[in-house]
Amino acid sequence: MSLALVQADLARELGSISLRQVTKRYGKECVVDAIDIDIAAGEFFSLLGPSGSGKTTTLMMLAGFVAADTGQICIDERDIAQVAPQHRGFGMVFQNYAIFPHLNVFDNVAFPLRARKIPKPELIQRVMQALELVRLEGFADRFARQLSGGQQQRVAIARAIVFNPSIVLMDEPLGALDKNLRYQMQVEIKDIQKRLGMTVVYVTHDQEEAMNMSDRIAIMNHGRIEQIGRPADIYKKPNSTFIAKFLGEANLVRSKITHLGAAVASVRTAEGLSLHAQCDQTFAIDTEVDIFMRPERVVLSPSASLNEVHQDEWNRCQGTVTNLSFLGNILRQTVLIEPGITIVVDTQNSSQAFAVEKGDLVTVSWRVEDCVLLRVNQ
Amino acid sequence: MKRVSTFGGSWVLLLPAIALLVVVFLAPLVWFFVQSLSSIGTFSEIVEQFVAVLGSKAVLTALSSTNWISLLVTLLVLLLSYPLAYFLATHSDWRFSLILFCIVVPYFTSVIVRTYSWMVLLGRNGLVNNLLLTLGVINEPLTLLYSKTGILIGMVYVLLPYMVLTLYASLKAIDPGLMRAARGLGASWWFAFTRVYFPLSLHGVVSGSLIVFILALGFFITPALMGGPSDVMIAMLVERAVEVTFDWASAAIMSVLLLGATLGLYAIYYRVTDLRRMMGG
Repeated sequence: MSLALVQADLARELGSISLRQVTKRYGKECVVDAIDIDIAAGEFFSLLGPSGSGKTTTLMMLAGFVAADTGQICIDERDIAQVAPQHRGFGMVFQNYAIFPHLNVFDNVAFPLRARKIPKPELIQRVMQALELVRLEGFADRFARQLSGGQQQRVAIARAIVFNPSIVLMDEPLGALDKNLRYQMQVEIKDIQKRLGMTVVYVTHDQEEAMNMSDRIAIMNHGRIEQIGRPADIYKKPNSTFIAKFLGEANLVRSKITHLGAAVASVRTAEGLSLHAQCDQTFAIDTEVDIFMRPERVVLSPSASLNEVHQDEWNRCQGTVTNLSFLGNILRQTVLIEPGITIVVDTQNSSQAFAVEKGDLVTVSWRVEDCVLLRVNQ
Repeated sequence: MKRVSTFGGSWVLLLPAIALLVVVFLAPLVWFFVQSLSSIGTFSEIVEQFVAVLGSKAVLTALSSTNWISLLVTLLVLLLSYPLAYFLATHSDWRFSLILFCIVVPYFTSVIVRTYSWMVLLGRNGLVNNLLLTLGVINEPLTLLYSKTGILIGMVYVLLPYMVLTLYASLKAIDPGLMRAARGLGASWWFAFTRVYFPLSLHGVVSGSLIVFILALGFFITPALMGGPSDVMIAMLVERAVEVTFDWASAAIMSVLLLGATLGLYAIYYRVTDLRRMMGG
């Protein structure tokens, strides 16, 4: 297929992406290991993972700066492996903004249009529209060194969307900003994405950011995809202890399976405490597992109050408070249940019914439906 | 009170260097000018002599020659150095070391030795001509030596390292992410190079070109050895006036001209680099 045809077609595309068995090796190390991803047009999709997980390399292969060793990369069902980066038609936002220092804001944003030889009147209109979208209308004459970090990032975003791409790639664009500004920018980016209907592939190591913005998240670790799903789904039902801990604070109670039901399993801890949990994966009796639940799902009550109705639906144990942490809107309490097992309880500051001191004897309880069994991490 | 003494303290540290410059460079120069020019006679006679020397055919031809050759040399050096400097700035493996070695090591050899080795290569019976004759590319040996071509080759070779190293420093400071961003946003390599990379390297280009041009103006060894009888550069005339005709007055006048031109160019260089630094380029 001739390059001109591909270029023209890429301009009319809807913006769905699929990666099939994509692999990248550097020497002996497998940086991206046979990953499969399908992204729908218009979706906000995040690649989330720790440093070295292969997420940036995956994005670079999608962009065309790095060649995949094996596998297929398709846009709207068309294989783009042979297409050079400048012809793929993606908008791109980089971590260090990559604003051209010798051009002012207007010329920076106009750059992709000039590269595509868009005529001047249309060019001016599109640039001004893009600047309005990122709320930088009055900044057209400024240079990068006269802008704050947040403003520079907005110029980068305007530049990436000015030529109406159907797909935008973002590589940790908010990493250099402070926390408050980051949150604000997340909302703005999400808003722009929804308004323009673009597909966004977003790389980040910040789980809050990924969960806040994404329709779906792919969690990557050591070059592999561990889980793909909607933020709320992965948060509540992670596939592994790695994912559980990566997305937020996680309680993991080590125990052995004693009984397997249809959806619920019974387990016993080392000290003989009997608990129940949701069981999604296939396990065998006597397997060592971790019961996982989120700290905000656990309720702390004085040890005396044991009169709870529907006792079958709740797990309950007694323990001693070993630590209290005030985190602003949350009070984080660590409770020692038995030797080696602590449970973290997060209580909103507004809802604490009674005062807790270090050393107090308390009861921690959580619903069976709020916890899952996870394989023990190797 | 404290501030003045601190300032005075650092000034004192500069005195040895200043003294050296004054004794070795400034004093002899001033003495030479004063002696030579005053030997002409009264002020009006000095002015007359200035006009006569600077208006003479020999000097005018030499000036024109010098300007053209220096400009041409600067341009050729720039064209050759840019790709080399680009390669150095974008690679850091063994190839980087090899190229850097090839450029810098000859720099440590004396200008005369390097020029003589070119004469061996470029003479009518030299290696280049022999190779071309054997290959059948030409039928008669080319006149590479004792001509403008010879001077150009010799000067370009000697001045190349200055430009390469200046350019390299400038190119190394360019963020490689910028070219990648430009390509990713839809620009062809050429568009990205002319609109992003080259403008950002302009500082190095201008600095390097000025340095090379200033140096080229004062060349006399290479043109003397490798040029033809009609290829005369101004510094050669000065040398001839001092050593052959003992016409120190003319030598002084031509030197003033050369020095003035060089200082003027240096002032421009200084202003340009200052401006660029202010603009964050």
